[in-house]
Amino acid sequence: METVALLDHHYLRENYHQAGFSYLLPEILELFRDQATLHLETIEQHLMQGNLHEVAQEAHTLKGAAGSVGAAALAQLAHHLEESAPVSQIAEVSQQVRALRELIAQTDTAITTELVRLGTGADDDLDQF
Amino acid sequence: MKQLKVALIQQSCSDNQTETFAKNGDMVRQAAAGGAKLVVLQELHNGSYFCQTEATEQFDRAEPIPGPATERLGALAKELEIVLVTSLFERRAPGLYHNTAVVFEQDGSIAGTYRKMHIPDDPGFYEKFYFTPGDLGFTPICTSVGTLGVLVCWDQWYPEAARLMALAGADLLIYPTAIGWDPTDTPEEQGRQQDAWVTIQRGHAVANGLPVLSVNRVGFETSPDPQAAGIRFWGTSFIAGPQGELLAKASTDTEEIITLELDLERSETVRRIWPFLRDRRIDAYGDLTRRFRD
Repeated sequence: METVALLDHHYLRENYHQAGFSYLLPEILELFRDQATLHLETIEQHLMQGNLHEVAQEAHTLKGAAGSVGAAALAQLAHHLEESAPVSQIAEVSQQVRALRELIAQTDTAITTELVRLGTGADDDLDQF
Repeated sequence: MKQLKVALIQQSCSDNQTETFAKNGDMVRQAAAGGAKLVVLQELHNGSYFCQTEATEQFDRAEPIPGPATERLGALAKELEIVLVTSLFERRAPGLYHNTAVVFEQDGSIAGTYRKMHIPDDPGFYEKFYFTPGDLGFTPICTSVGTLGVLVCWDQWYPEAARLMALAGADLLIYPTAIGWDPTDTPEEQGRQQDAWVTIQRGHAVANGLPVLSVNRVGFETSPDPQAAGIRFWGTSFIAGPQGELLAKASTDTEEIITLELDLERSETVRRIWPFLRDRRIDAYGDLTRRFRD
């Protein structure tokens, strides 16, 4: 399977930096980070109640949010969860939600790295990605 | 706050299967009616504790997994929409048996199994005759209510088992158990044994910053060996929090359901002030995998 980036720098360059919205990116990434955690909590609560359709709905929202900030791997997994949750056994969905939790933690770390990079005025280096 | 209502079923068992199953089902239903989403049964809850003697006919009790027992218990989990931790005598192949915990999801599917790793062989607890040591390792079982570090009975004396479950991401440590007194022991000795049993498991809670759920059998069971005194199972099922604090405890002689709302986020809070995982000297622990440092 193709490896998808935690943060798609090409996407960020095209949709933020080249579009003149570089200044918004730190705030948007911070916002997304908090939102992702909330989405995960909601997903886990629905899972605990065995409500797989609600899990799928929340995964759909997370997918959209992740896609809009270039969190590509997370968007992909959320998409998979959205499609599979309503037609899978709870045991499988539980595994996926656990993987989602881990991926959100990894994405969080990638965002921290990106924020540090943006904060140090490293915009000149963006082309290396 | 991430809350999980848990229930432990402490019961006595007999070889009257109809009666034992009915009682077990009733207690689980009662726990679910009380709102429990995670229900834990004691070790080998399908009948009497048959390991008091070594007898080949006892292998007839074993069942394949999946099999009739998992059908029945899975249906119960599905009916009540709970995660159910059970303990079965597994027949894996002719002459190959395990003491196996099976965890069911809310839809009745099997979330995972754990085969007891540490097998005792003490007077009255002749388990090595019956059970092949587990070969699935210390792998927690991922469920809709959390990642469960399910271990079984004798495993509870081994800090290594609890630690490996914690290091693999377990949210809870769970010990279905069948432990009791030799009625010929003095009350002082009985007290020491019971205290040690509670203490070591609370120690696992402290060392790993995790809640511990321990469920034990209750009641007296005679031994087929006329020379033996039987076992008085001491109940005392309990729930400890991630600092080892006792949150709930059952009696030593009565069938009981303990129900408690657990705060699953407390582990992280406790681990932040007691970061034992941070300070482990993994560079200096290599000898732990040796039998003895000689």
